Amino acid sequence: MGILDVNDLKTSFTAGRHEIKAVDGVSFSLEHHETLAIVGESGSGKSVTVLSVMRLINPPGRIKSGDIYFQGKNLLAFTEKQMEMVRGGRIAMVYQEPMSSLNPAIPVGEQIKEVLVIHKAAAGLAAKEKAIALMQAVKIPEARLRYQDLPKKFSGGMRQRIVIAMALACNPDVLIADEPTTALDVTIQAEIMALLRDMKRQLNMSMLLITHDLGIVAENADRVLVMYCGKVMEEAKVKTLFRSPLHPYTMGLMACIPKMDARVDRLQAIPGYVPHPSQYPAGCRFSSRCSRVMERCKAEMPELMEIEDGHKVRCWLYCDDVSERSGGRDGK
Amino acid sequence: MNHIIEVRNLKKYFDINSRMGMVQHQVKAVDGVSFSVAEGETLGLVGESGCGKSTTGRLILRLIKPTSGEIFLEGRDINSIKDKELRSIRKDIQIVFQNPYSALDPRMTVTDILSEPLSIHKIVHKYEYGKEVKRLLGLVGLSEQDGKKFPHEFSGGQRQRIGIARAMATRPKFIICDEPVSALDVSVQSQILNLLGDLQKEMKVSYLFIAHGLNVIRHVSDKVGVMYLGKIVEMGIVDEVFEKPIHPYTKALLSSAPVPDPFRSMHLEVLEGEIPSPVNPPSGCAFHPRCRHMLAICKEKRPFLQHISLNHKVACHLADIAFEGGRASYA
Repeated sequence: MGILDVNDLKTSFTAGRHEIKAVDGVSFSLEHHETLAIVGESGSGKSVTVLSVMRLINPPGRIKSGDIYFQGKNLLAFTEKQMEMVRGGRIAMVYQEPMSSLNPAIPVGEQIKEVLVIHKAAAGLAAKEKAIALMQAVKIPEARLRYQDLPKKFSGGMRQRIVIAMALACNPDVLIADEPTTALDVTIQAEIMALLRDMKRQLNMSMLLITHDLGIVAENADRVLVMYCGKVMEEAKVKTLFRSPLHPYTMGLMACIPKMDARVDRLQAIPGYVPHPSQYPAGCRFSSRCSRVMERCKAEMPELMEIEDGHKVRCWLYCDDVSERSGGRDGK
Repeated sequence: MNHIIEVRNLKKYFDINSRMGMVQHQVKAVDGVSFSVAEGETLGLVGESGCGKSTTGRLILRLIKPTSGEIFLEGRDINSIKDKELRSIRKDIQIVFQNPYSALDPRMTVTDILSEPLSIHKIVHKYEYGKEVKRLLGLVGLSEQDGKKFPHEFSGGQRQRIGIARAMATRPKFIICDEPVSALDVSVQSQILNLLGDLQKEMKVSYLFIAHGLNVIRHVSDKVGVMYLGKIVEMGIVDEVFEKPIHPYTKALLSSAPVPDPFRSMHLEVLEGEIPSPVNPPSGCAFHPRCRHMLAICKEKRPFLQHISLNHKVACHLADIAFEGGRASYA
């Protein structure tokens, strides 16, 4: 049992008479001290998954079913008051756009201090000193002098450091980073990811990293979930996934990124587009774009099956026919 | 070589006014940029936000007026032509924007969107709009039925195809691609990059490809210019710049891009510090406050773009020292 266990989570949004199944039966387990990456394109349900874990889904959305166990306790049974102590206290979150997670009218130091005061980690002058120490820990130059500065006085990278300081204020057990560097330039991105890796090690945290960038996955994750249209398509250790991806979607994703160190004439591409949630194909949701689609794929949704230790895939190719299975690996 | 576009010492300074309406500061968004693009060639411009790469694109299209410098379209100076005559150059120079959601009028059908440039630039006779629109849709991989739809009925990737079809409608010689795939999902990016590549081969069109994704730049470009605070700091044939980068900024930029390979050992050259404000750029070499190899001269004197080989130019005092003597032959 991990520190965070999600079982068969289903989160839907209602749009008129339609039900949009943003997360449709997602299960995973975040182990102690590991970094689990969730990769997927827009609409894959990766952000809704972590917002559900934080119980931050508001109408017209709702968590329809499933369990979310954090340190053995079911978060879905918590009262709102109990949940408030978990959020920012035991499970903290860093969002994509730092400016929208900071209050533009409050000095950054005060915003970090507020977290400490609300979670009763410190009070008064001690809280202020702790906030300054946190600013120093995330490497904000001249932290004491900048305590009173408003967010607008900081650059994007520095703002993200402030948001990270807020997230780390109460030594959380789990840090959820939702596309933490997508809005940042590549040199700043490298610094922020280095900071997150550092902090995770120092504070013994477990990390749930949401990203669409396979480069960030390769450099940071221990294990990976690949999501597509609200479903987990593949789950594996990071090296296993890159060495022998099984799902045609994962293979396609890896093949279609332009490489930094070699040039090709034409890129491989996954045909078609991510379908709108109201137009998911029957059967496997990737069947409309899959290069190895079979009759069965169009009719029935495959289960997520464990092929070898810790490597799971949702694909009919690996169901009973062993020859197909080895063919899939060569196909990488 | 037959240059489609040549830019010489292009500058754009934006004034920042104080409350009294007096000019208080100047932002040197583009500060002395020179390059040329040949027929059928792609020049990639790469750099971090605020480096002036998008402004450069807009200057060439004359969407904004340069402070100084020269722009030539097939040898004709287009910087000095009057606003009234701009229409004549815009037929030859088109742009594909980053955000396909905001670049298309939501109240126009795709047929209307594609017919507009045909009528403005009198590309074909009125009676042939239908046929031409059909051809354009086919060119970018959309069906004839898609012509009747409105932009909101399409996904991001399809909208970008419409944006490309619109740019192709005037049969331009030069297209500015301003981050055309940055807003798209990974699986759709490669489709659009392939489409742009196919169209280039077919139409012999030249591209100025602006992007911050280094792997995208490597894939599409023949030549690449690396920009930092309004200046090109390194420029050359794409393979040479990516395999043997000289400028410390280019090296840092290349090493900070995450590589999708968990077996590779990380050799991170993490850059210290932030990008300085272009309102108040550092003296001498603008990169010196973040540079590991800074010399005394870097604070005082601005380095100029100099050849280090036939197809590779660098603006760095270190390179000046290392390659001194070997340069005369390229000058």
